[in-house]
Amino acid sequence: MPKVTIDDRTVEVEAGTNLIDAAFKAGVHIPHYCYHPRLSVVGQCRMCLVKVAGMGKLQAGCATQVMKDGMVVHTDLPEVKEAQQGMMEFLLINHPLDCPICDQAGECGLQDYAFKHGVAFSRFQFEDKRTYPGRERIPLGGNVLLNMNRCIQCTRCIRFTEEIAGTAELGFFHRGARTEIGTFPGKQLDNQLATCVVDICPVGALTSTRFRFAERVFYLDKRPSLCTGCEVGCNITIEHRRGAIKRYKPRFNPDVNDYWMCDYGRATFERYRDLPRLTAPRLRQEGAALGVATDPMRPRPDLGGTDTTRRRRPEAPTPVSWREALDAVARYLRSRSAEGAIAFLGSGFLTTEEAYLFAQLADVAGTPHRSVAVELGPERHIPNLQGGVTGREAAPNRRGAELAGLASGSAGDGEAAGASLDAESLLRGDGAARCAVLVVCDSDFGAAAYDPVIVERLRRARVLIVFGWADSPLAQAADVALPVATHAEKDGTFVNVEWRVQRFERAFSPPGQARPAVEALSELLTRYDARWANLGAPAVFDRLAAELPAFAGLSWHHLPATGAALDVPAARAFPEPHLQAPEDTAVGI
Amino acid sequence: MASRAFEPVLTRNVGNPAALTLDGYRKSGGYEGLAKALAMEPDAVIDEVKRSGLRGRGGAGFAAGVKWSFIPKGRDKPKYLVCNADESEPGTFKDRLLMEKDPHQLIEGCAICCWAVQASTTYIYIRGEYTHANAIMEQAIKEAYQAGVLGDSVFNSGFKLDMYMHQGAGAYICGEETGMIESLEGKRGQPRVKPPFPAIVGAFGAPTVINNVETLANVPHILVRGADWFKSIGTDERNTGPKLYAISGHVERPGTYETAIGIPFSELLDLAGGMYRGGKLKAYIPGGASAAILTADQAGLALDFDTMTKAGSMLGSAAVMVMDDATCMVRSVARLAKFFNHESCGQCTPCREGTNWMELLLTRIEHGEGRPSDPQLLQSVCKNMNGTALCALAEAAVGPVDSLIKRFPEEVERHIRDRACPFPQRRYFENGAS
Amino acid sequence: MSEPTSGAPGATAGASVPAGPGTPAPGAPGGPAAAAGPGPGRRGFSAAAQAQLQALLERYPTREAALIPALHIAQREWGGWLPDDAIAAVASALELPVARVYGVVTFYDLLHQHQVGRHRIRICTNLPCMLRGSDEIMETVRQELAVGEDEVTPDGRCSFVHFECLGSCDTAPMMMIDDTYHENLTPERVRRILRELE
Repeated sequence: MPKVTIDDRTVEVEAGTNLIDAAFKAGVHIPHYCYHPRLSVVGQCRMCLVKVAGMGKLQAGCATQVMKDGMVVHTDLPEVKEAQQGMMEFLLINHPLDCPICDQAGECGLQDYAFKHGVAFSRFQFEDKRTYPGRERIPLGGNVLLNMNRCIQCTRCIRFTEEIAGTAELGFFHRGARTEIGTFPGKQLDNQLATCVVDICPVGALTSTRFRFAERVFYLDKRPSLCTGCEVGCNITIEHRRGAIKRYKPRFNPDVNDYWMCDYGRATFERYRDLPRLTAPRLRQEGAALGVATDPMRPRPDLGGTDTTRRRRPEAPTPVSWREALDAVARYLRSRSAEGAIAFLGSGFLTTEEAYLFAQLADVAGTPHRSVAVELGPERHIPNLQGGVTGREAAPNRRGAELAGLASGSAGDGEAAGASLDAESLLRGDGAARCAVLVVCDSDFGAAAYDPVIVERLRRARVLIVFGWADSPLAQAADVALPVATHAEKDGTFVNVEWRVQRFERAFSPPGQARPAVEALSELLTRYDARWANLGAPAVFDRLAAELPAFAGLSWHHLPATGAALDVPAARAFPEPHLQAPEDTAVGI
Repeated sequence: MASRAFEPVLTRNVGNPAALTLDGYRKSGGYEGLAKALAMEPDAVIDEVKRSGLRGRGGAGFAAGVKWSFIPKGRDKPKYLVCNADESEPGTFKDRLLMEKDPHQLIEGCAICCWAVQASTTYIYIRGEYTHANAIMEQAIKEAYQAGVLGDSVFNSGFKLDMYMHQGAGAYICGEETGMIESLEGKRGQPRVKPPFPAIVGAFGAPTVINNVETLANVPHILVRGADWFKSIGTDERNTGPKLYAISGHVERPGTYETAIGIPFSELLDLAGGMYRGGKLKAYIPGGASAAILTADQAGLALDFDTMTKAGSMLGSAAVMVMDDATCMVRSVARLAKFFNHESCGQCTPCREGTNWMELLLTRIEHGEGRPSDPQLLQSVCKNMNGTALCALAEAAVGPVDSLIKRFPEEVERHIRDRACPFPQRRYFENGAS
Repeated sequence: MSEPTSGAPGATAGASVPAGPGTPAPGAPGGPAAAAGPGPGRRGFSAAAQAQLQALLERYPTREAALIPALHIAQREWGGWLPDDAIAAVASALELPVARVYGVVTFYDLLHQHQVGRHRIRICTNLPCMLRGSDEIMETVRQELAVGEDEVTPDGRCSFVHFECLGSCDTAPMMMIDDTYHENLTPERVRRILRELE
């Protein structure tokens, strides 16, 4: 591999590497706007001009490759700095002073490079700035807004729609100083990845309508996490202010989502914001109103009947302590088995660790009925260099939940109809009516927890226990409602559609008395076996990795940053990707 | 070395309408060059053109034979010749003359070039405004096909050659070679990053030669009369052959004049009938809008590539624009700045913003709103545009502006100081517009 | 604005070109300000234009390369300019994204996205013509037609713009009307030429 010297630092790079990437490897940042590692090289912004020894004119770093040994590059010469200042000046003369009202402030390529490579005064004093009248807030599809005055004509957005999304809605119109980007009149941005153009736009020309004026970026805490919208498992950054999530942005993972994520996934945090939270455990006391004995050991008079009205408990659940609530759960699990079946219903939103403990709990409760519910959504395809990842399940971890011990949501052909109490029979059939106790964990299985028909079906169980983060109708109908953390508030792993296990950690604490489900489940299990005491997700992962062949050899602390491919027969359909570590740039990737 | 009594070469058929037809062209010796070339090895043709010292007549002045030698050898892959008939450089109208008056000369030159580099298709990219020239060329090409000069077997040699006219749609930047290729491919005429160069990756990804009309028109004569003959014309071995000079502006007889390359400007001015209405020479631009302005005291300079470069200007397309002493230089350069701003493709930062800024600055100065800091600012803008842009248009735009500040500083000063243009409004027509 | 249509159905099969309803009768609807001829609202290429497009496609290794010549043809079909449906028709015929075609149309000075007069007047005002009185020619045209630059006369007859160098500097000042160069102009000649335009 050839060696190149950049500012007196020598690095070895693959032949064909451009100077921006080579410099990054050497620890030198060459400023740039139009270059992006996944888009074609156009060499337009001229911000990356550097001095290559032996060549008279400055060369564009993005368009110059290292092919053999001996190339010497300088980014710190006065000539280069003057060129950078010149380019910054040119970009700023027609740029509006919108910083006070522009969402990009704080993460703006012009601000950053003006500060670092520009000058602190303007010489454009007696002329009028070029503007695009009527083009200051043009919706390009539902999620993206264009302010053409701010555009620096880098064409990243155009190249993205052509080369990555493949939909080519954006074009470069007119010529010279009047050049603008836009869609054909009457057309919109119409692809799943539309908001990615906001990420890659270095300035505030393209902004997200959902994030518009929501928060100043310098007040945001940024934590790495995963999207829960579907089984692709895009890596994201949760950007929040004191526990209020304002934005998801994609996080680079060349093995999964590359630099991208879809618009639907970006909006999935809004549920956390908009839906009422369950913040305290609630318990419905077994009261005297129906003449029902308060002693759980005494059989009830209407035992064996299916009259749900007589079994409905009119007393409203009341807030209790966690201890009381868990006591009630343990009591119900121990005492009701004679009255009917016990079923455990998980969702594709469970972390692998939660699912593992949930299955363990089903074991100690002595029931074979433990399954995972997942809904199908529209197909989502995220491009990467290996052909991309496609997902249809609208939850992140059905596979992890199944590997951890929950059965698939619908019975195979061999099962007699009605014999199993799996997700299918519980949610869409009459299975709950045969349940003495139905435990639902992480009731975030999409719209189901808000569907009165489904809630009514699940309520047919004699005792309904719900672990959930939302105060959904299902949680309100429960006899015991246990507030758990959203995925932003806990640690865990998800296994994606390609059987890649990825780890995420909490961004902030859950509100009120909500806790990660792993804690609640391990506390419950402790009542059966002290070895489950005080386990956090890392410890649980290490335990399940020791036990389950699919996870053999893995440990929480040594999980690679881009995830690990699991060794399951189904996974062998997916080739193991081999990619270098990411290059990050200052500008909006 | 140039003589007034120059035996026309490129313009020998101007004024002979018979030569518009293939038969008429043949009668005056046409297509002998092609016949000769087909009997030679392709590389031998390249060598002959190299030896002649023919330099590109479109503006860059790059040695044509050398350019042809960059094309990879062999016939296994497609290769193209694109003839640059976009002729949009202000002051240039010589290619139009060649196409309208001697279309077969160009066809023959293209065919010889294709044989030399083993290209099988020529696109003549002609600016969209030249509808008349396009019609004449189309007719001549049609005749050429009928006569077997073009088509499956040129002169029954087995060499297949297709030739098509391709009309542009009005953009100066399409005269830049990679801008032209982009436009030919059906896109916006935005120049490409180089390398790769067109000789390796050109039109449709294939090796491509791009040559100006006049350049190619010379080629049949080089083949027929020899490289030595070609070299015997001109100033020295780096500035050889006949040259068309398109002279316009304040001269009595604007037009295209053919002489040996290197005629002194003052002699060319004489050929063109001297100054318009007996005026006094103030300045002249020797080679198109991007050439630095030369002043009257430089009237004796030879109009060849090297002399012009040494004088700080360029021969370019040899579009000579003459200005008398009633001309406001600021106004003239402001008009060129407006041209470059209009024609910038808009891709790259320094050109898109810089040409815009320069037009604004010069217009302010022209209209008496200049500031004392403006000349220095203009030079600084020029410096930031020079050598930083993606293609040569930015440098071209700098040419006249830079020479204005350097050679006419007092005139600029007067505009700023007096807050008005010192030159009275000029009327060319008695009845005027009223 | 409503979604532009892309010519008649069956537009993109193979190398064919969308069929149009045939050449419409002259005198398109639209009132006195509309350009005569096909005008906006026509839905596709005439048979003759289709044949031209077909021949074009054989000249190039890619469909895209036929775009600019195809746009010239479409512009003639649609009465001298390219409304959105013309652009969509061309995009469809050549199987190109419509935004890309729009980008090409807006790049070039000879392709118009808004209505022009039946006669399109382009007056060169670049330096060599400026040095021989092009300003006065512009003024004459402006006064004679009594409209501003890039506006259409009320009878739809003419529109004019200033233009960059047209390659006729030896006959300055000059202008181009439709496909013809008018050279060695004087204000008097200009007035005569304009009055003779129909």
